[in-house]
Amino acid sequence: MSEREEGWSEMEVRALKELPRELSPRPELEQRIVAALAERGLVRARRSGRGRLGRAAAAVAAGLLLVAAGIWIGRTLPPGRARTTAPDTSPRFVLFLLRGQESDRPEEEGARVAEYRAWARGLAASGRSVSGEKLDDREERLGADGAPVAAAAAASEEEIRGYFVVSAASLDDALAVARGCPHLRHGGRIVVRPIVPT
Amino acid sequence: MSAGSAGDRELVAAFLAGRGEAEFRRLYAAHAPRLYLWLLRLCGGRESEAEDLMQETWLRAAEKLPDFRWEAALSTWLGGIGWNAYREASRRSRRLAAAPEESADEAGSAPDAGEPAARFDLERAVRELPEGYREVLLLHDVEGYTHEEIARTLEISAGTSKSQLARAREWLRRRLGSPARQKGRIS
Repeated sequence: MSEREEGWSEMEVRALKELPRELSPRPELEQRIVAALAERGLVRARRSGRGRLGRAAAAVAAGLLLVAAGIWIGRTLPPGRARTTAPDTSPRFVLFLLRGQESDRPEEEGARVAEYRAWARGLAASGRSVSGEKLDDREERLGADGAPVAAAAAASEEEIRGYFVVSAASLDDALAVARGCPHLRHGGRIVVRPIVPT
Repeated sequence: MSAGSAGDRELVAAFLAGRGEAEFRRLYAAHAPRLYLWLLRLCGGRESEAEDLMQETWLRAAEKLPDFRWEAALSTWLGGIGWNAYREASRRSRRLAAAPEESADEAGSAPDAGEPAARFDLERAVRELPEGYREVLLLHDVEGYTHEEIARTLEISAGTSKSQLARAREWLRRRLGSPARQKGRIS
């Protein structure tokens, strides 16, 4: 249906189209929204202190010195340097990446590596410490007496495929981080557990 | 509500990577002005209501962003979230209970064509459109959506979108005066 058929003259249509498209809200609203997001763990509050980003980045680099075989993010990252600055004392959390319903096609592995690596690098760039590894599918279990215990016969949704260790301000903050992990988009599941400082 | 997709993807990726405040503020700055005016118009110009909706929209968006598939422009997606928040708020306050056909009666009480030209205010008239009409007219005539896009955004049929638009235009015309009288005023 054309504009004319709908009974609106071109001049009238143009007048409406020429109405403003944008209007900046009050600056106070932005602050209010950021505070609300931070309260719900959807935005990580900005940290103060000069050089923190640099220290965190160094910590990340050290964390990304990962073992060679089968790792998701470490294998294709450039070598990091040993940490020489003060350690990041932020709370840390483990993100266990469970198989869930994820597809596991070998031909997709390269893209997955790049995707997970980009995500981890993004975390690092934002000032978080992060490390992680992909785990091999093989699994052996030992009982309390050190004797082998039968492992699961087949891969289950609870199988741990890998993990990340990230710094976060709180459990909610860590959950917000986990929600951004590409593992979820691939059908996997994530369990987030705080690390107890020892 | 179109937006530079490549730039938006970078903004979103940077934000989701660590959910940093600075990254969010950059994303906000890129989309807030357009989103805010859209919400303000939906609310009929009520600023405090628009601000509440703005906050609710960003809360929902920040939560759902990891699932955003880029099947639409980010601004369109944000506008849709804002629309849903508005609709839910309106239902809560029972302001959207009346069907557009019923509220069309309001056009009958609109000022006649003899209203002084000095009082003509297209922006205000749009904001005074009955709910149900306003959204369709804003999306089609101001934002440039197709009826199919409106149908997806508002979860109505394309046919309903067309009929609502026709009624909205008729209401607006009556509100502003006859087409012949108005051509000179709005141009």
